[in-house]
Amino acid sequence: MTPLRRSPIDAAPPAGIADLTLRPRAGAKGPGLQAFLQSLGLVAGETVNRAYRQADGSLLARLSPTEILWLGAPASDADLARWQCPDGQPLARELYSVPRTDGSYWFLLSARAAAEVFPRVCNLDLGASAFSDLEIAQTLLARTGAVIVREDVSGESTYHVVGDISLASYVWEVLSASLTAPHG
Amino acid sequence: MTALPRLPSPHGRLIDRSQPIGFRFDGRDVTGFAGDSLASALLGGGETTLARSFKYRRPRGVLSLSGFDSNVLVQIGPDPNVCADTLPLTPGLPDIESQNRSGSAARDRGAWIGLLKPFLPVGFYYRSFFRPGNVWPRYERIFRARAGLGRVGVTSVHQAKDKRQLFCDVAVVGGGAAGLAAAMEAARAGGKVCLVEALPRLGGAALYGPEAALEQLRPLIREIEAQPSITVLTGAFAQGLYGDYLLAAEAAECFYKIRVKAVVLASGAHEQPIVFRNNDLPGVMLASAARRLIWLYGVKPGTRAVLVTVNDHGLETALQLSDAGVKIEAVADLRGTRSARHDALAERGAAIHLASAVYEATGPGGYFGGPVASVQLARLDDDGAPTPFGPPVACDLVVMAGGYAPAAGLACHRGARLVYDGTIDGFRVENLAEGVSLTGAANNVFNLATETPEQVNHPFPIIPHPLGNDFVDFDEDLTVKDIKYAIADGFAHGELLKRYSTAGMGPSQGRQSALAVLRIAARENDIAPSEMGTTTARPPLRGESFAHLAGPCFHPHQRTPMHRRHLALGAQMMPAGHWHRPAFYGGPGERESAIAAEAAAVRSAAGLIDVSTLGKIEIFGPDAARFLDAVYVTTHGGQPVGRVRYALRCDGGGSIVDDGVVCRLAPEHFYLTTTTGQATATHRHMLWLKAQWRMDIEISAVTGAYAALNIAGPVSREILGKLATDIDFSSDGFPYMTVRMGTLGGIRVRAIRVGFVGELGFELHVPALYGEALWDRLLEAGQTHGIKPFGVEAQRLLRLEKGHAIIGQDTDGLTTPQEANMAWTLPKKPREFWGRAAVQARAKAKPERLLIGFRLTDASAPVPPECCLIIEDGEIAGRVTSAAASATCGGVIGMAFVSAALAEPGKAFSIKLPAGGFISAQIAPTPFYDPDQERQTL
Repeated sequence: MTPLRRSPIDAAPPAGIADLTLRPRAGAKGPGLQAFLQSLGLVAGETVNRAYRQADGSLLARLSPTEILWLGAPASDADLARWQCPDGQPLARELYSVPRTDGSYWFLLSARAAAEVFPRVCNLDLGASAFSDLEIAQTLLARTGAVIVREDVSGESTYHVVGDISLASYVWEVLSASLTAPHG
Repeated sequence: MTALPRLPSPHGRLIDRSQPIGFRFDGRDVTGFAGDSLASALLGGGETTLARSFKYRRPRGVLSLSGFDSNVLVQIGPDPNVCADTLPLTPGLPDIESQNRSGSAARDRGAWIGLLKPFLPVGFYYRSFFRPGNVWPRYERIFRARAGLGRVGVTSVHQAKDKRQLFCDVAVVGGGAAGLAAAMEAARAGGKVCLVEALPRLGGAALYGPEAALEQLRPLIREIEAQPSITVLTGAFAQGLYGDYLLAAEAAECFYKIRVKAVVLASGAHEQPIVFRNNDLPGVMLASAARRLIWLYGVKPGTRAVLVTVNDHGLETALQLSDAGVKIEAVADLRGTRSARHDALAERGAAIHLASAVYEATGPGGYFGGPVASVQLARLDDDGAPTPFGPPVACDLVVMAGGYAPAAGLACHRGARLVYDGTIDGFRVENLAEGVSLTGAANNVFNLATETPEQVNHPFPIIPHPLGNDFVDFDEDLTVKDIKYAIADGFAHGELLKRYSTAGMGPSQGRQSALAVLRIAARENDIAPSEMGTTTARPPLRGESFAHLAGPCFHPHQRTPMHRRHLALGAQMMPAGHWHRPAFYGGPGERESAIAAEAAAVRSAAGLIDVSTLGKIEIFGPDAARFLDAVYVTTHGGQPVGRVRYALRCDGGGSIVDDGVVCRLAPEHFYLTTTTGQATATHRHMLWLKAQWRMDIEISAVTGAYAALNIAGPVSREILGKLATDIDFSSDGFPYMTVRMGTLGGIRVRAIRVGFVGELGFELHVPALYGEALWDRLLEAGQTHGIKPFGVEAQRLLRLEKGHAIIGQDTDGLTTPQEANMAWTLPKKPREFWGRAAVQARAKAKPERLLIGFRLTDASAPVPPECCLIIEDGEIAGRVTSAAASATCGGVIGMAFVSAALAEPGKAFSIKLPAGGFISAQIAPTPFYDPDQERQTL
């Protein structure tokens, strides 16, 4: 029997890249965002393109004044329900669900992998000195839209990459190839 | 030249003598060392003639050894015009061939063309072959056969070099003393620095000079290499400086795109040749090339040398050559003052001639020509006029030190100009762009201790010869006389002179010729050199390989959640924009039968198609209905919750651009689909309109977020009934053009009842990661009902049978709703919508063409491809937009645009086939299948 939910990525991950596509995450947008976050006991500042660490280890990535991307921690499965609502209903007053849970891929890059990959596939400076902890880049990655969030964990930089699920295989292939590309 | 042993250390700084590398050049075996360039390995192996000149097939050897001249372009396997000066010698190189010759570089059977030189003055091409008009093709064949450099390997495999972005505050180009100092200074000031050096090591010109100068730099080099804020790129050549401070640098296996805030050019200077007869013979080279040979590669460039110089750098070079064991036979110095260096050379046996120059170099003569064997010297009077004196001086090396021109091409890419400065008898750079600066020799400072311009040039280092062959531009075989003739023909201005004579248009881009051309032109025009204009430099600085330019190719491709299933079922995939879609399921040779079987399954039982590529958008908010009314021609404001409506969108010009369906899930929540191709455009258009109209809505593009499966066919309801569901799929509970939300097979689903293919059908939208699971469950449930997956081709046939137009295929960029028989979509009550004014204005006019259905008269006639012309009474009356052979309809059916006069049922017309010939057709009413819509509303 086919599992109900399955990542598009079959390939074994190369060193430094992980597929977190089956991990919990969610999105919401609308003027009622701040009140909703408060109701969940989550804290997010108003600075756009900034991520905010939560007590449970999850991240709130503010993509615009009225849009948020929640990247759950490994043990956040139970919390995911709080981001879901009956189909056709608003998530909260003046707040609407964005189907990030199944609509996006989610990859995680180590600092070493990011240093190899990003200069090959992205025109932004995502180097350690230019792109700080919890900073967000909404940019193009190998000609496709992606959200990149840096998160330092135990002193090590990691980079979350989130994009449209239909591009998951393509982006995975590009990242893997860029990791092993010869360079001068 | 016979191969000589390499010079002992410290000569040969770049080579590893323990690693010999063999290769073949023009059919002969040559051995060099790791660290050699190809050119140094060839010279070290005794080869002096490395190529033939572009026009007259004159023998050529090393000139600059810096990669800035065209003398040493070679063919390596499929790659033409590889610069032997700079190509690192590596094991496993394919056979290397010289270019522009028949036979070998040393023995070129095509050298006869040089005999025609007196008859081929500059501009002959423009003046000689344009009449009579009909004769040009004959000339063209000859010229085409001889034109160009090298041969492109059209069968060579695709190559793509790596490409990387680098980001820094300051880029320093040039790893010599000036560049090192600039880089360190910028780093100390807190800047992030990128230092780009073409040679494999830092040191610049000090690398090819005596040990003392290099020793002075070593502490600084070590400091820079240990400095974390400085990225050092050695073996990388800065090719161009573009807008927004993008510096492009090319290394052997990588192309760097360096984003900077400021650029310091410490790129040095290009040494200039001295013009005299036969100054292009192999063995005649620049002083800097001779120094590179001995210091970088340990190659002794000759055994007996003559120096002709305008500065002390030439004298220094002669002393270093002498130290390396080269006998300096004579020194001809264009200057008139004797110095200690002259005395030092005299003590070593060199004949010193002041106010003198080489008048003529001579090779061995003969048909093939060859390297230099002797020179004739001449004294120069106060006006620079030469008078030959003494017997010829036997030599196998002539070293030219003719002054310098700043290597400031990168600055010129950003608008700087080279101007002639009479105080230094050479170029300096003006009009530097903000953020671009020059240092060192690029700024005419050759001694960093004094930081003042040094007199290294001569006002006219040109010794014309009455018999010619006094080359000014080596790329194009241009002599002094050619430049004079061009000016006499009226092309006196620098830009015109360049284009008429082609001076500076070859691979070296005038680096060794621009100064000499300007000096000659100024003299001929009787003006000061500073009054002559200079030409414009554009990137790149030198040839780039396609592999570097191409880099890794990013071609995004989107896959639906069921992609793996399609492959497992043997689907033949086809592109649909960035998407991959199944065309049909079966082998490539089973196309027709597979499509027919899939269509039959849908008509008789059930079919399942992946329609995830449809654009999907969600609109939320109090203004959602009002917004959709303003976006679409069709009306959605009064659309009840749970209902689905067809949606048609026009552009501002009143032409159809997109269609889909709009589902109202809640009073303030709409879910809508678009065509695959317009998904992004429609979303972008909506975002723009939302901002313009400041409506209280939120828009989410969710195309990838939902897998969409369409199960269609008379038994589709029964199949759905086999899966656990809380949705009432009955005819009454789920009528045509409605939407339901619930679960199916344990998966949350949005089910939309539509009928694109004309059968009872349901479009099932589920979160993307559940798509495979639902696909599997439906196929499993439908197995006993004869369900088949069907692809795009069967879908196209089925919808054609129903007469459903595909926007973008059956319409074009100018089609109005009236022309496409969609006037029924226009609002019944007046309201505003995007494109309203144009739609209404065009609706007032009677359509000149209409989209109609047709049948071929002969059921066995071939299917006319899309865009076949429709002919009536010998005139074009339209074109086919879709056609297919339909078993259900018993023949070939199609849709076409025809003139309004022709658009009457039963009228006959002809279709012209691409290969010629006509087939007969007749206008037929649509839908062809189930005209009463009974099947899709079951």
